Amino acid sequence: MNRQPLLFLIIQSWLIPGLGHLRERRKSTGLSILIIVNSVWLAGMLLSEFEAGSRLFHPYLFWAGAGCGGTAVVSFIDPAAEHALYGLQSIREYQDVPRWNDTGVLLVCVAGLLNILCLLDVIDARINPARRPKSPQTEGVEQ
Amino acid sequence: MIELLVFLVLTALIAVVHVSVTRIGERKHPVKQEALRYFLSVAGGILVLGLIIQGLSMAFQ
Repeated sequence: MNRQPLLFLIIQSWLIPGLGHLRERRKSTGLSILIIVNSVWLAGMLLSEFEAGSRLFHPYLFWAGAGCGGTAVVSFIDPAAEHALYGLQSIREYQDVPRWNDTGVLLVCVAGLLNILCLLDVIDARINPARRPKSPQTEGVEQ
Repeated sequence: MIELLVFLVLTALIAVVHVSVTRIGERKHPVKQEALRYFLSVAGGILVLGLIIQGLSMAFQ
């Protein structure tokens, strides 16, 4: 089997969490990451109405969420920017924040940090293949 | 109560992903068992800590 370059694998995993594991033929791990991390990320984005991907609203927390490539993509479009109020308007007008906004931002941050862990696992498995489980019993269902 | 549910679900999801990507080849237990142990340790530990803090704050009020 032709192996993909590591950089290409990292970019794939960053953009779509779990894809790197799937391309490395680690199906159960890849599928669980694909489902869990993407669900947490999507739930967070929807709960925060895409505010979690906004560098305008969250200049520091954004970098935790940027562990998932989707957050970086959302930050370029930044659909939440239209909710920003400037100058006196920000003082006089009530800014309607969704009830679960903070929870959504937290979920995106957790998804981003989990994906960094997954990226490190992809890199580690490529650098040191001996680390990967050998028997299907200990691996769960892989290989 | 819904916050507790969100916390438990999130901790369970983190446990599954964390155990999946940090297991080394020499481990003898299956992923599910390790994830369950991880979840019980982390969620249980945090809940016990929360209860202790709650009890202390009520005692000193």
